[in-house]
Amino acid sequence: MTLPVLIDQLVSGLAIGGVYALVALGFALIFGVLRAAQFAHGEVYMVVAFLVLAVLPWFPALGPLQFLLVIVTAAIFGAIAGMLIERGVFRPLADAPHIAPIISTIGLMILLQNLVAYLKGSELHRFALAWPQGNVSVGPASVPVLKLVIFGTALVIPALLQVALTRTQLGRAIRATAIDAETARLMGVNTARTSLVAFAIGSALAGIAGVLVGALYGVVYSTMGVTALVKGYAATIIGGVGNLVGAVAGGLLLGLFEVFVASYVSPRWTDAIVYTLLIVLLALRPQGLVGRAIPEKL
Amino acid sequence: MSQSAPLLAVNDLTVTYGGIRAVDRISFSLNEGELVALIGANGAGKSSTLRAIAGIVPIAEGDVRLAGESLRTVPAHEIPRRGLVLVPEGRRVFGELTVLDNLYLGGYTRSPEERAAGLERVFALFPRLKERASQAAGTLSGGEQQMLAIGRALMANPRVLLLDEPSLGLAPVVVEQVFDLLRRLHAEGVSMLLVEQNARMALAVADRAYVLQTGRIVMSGAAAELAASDEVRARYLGAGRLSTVPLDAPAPEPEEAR
Repeated sequence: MTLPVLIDQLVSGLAIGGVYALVALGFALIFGVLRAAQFAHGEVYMVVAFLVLAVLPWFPALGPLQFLLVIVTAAIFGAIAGMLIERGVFRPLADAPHIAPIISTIGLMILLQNLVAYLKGSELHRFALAWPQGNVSVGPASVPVLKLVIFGTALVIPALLQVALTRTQLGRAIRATAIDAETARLMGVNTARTSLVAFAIGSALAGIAGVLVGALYGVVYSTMGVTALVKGYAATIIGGVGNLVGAVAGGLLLGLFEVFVASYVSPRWTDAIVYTLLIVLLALRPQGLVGRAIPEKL
Repeated sequence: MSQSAPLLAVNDLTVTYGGIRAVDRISFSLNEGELVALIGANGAGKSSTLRAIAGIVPIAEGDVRLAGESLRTVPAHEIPRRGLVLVPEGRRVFGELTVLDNLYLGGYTRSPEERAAGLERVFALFPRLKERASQAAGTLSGGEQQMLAIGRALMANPRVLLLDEPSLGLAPVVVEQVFDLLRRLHAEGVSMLLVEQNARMALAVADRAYVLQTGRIVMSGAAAELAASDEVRARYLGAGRLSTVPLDAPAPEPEEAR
């Protein structure tokens, strides 16, 4: 193993790990506030990638600026999709048994996958940004700029979210809603609105992750959300359910781990090894690597 | 005490849970600057009354008026904006958030300037909370958490403060501190409706009191008169011979020093 190869693998692991981190963060945010797993979270990621692909020809070829425009568009599409799902699927089931939204979002997951496959076909679709990124030297290695940009995006966005959640009244209201919705209402917080906002933000993160992965691999396809959900969910578990910082750390760890297993063991065994370790981790540390013991409200 | 309409007027309030009338057509009032206590045994409907006023449980029948305006159809999260705040039973501080975040949430319905002024007032009242401002609220002692819960409610600068069992689960010396605080707020002119199982302490601080029994008001009057009445002494203050205490008398106060 040479140093350039190691650096290349590190960057690749952090790029895909960053995508997992964004998916996990969104999933954890929604879970924290609504106390329900959003199983169609991966389909938000997939649908947004397809929507952005559809509007991509109209985007001016502005190089890096186009990339920024794509990110913002994906966030907006994701937020809209999230609000529709919150209003259409979660809100009507607010007082239903816990299993109800799980079944509903699994149904939505299947529906969206098949709808996109029906409309666009189930083959791979090329997803290319009009931005010749090229490579950049990192020490002795030459790595694609795109991977660094993806990793950077996956660090900046959670950092912005963290500031918003801890320094603004809306952020405090979202956290209060996640901890104790009734008491938040007693403080004057409209918890129906904070739930909607949390869902929109979480889904915007999924949308951003969708276009990042599209740019990273150059393709999108109708079942891409399945992998994203499973990896995002795994990252959430590694970090500790309901722990936002842990979700990001879990995503990055998972990405790095996968890349190294693929290079030093075998790409065929990556998933088997990753999930075996995940099961072991859950048995030994149910609160996750980073998390403390989970309060009973979860 | 003003001669005009009371600040808070409860008329024929009924609260039901699945057909069971927890609160049954009760009427009472709170005037500007008054401290009124609702006392009664466990399950008498005291908490349900406060939660209905604060909009957390629906009003089945009757009405609640704050300064003449009905709160009946006002959603819970709008009520603090109108000037009424409930300090819930069990304190319910946001344990994972800092003391400061808890206080800022208390002032959620206020402008940034009002929040800054509120914070100054609360820190003057509770220097302890200022010392611990950046600490997670869950690490505070039970008494400190109760102070935080009250301070958080004061951040909204309410016209009416509702307190649900503020002494519950606290050590006796801390209970004294909580009631000292209520006296102090009363002296400052804060209008308060206090629900307490600790009837002795409640009657000692209140101007007037209502006695609830199985969802109905069975007695009312000046707190001092109620405290002197034989029936209240026997039923709620633990005085008199044991044989005269009915079976639905309150359980002994839980005392959990945290």
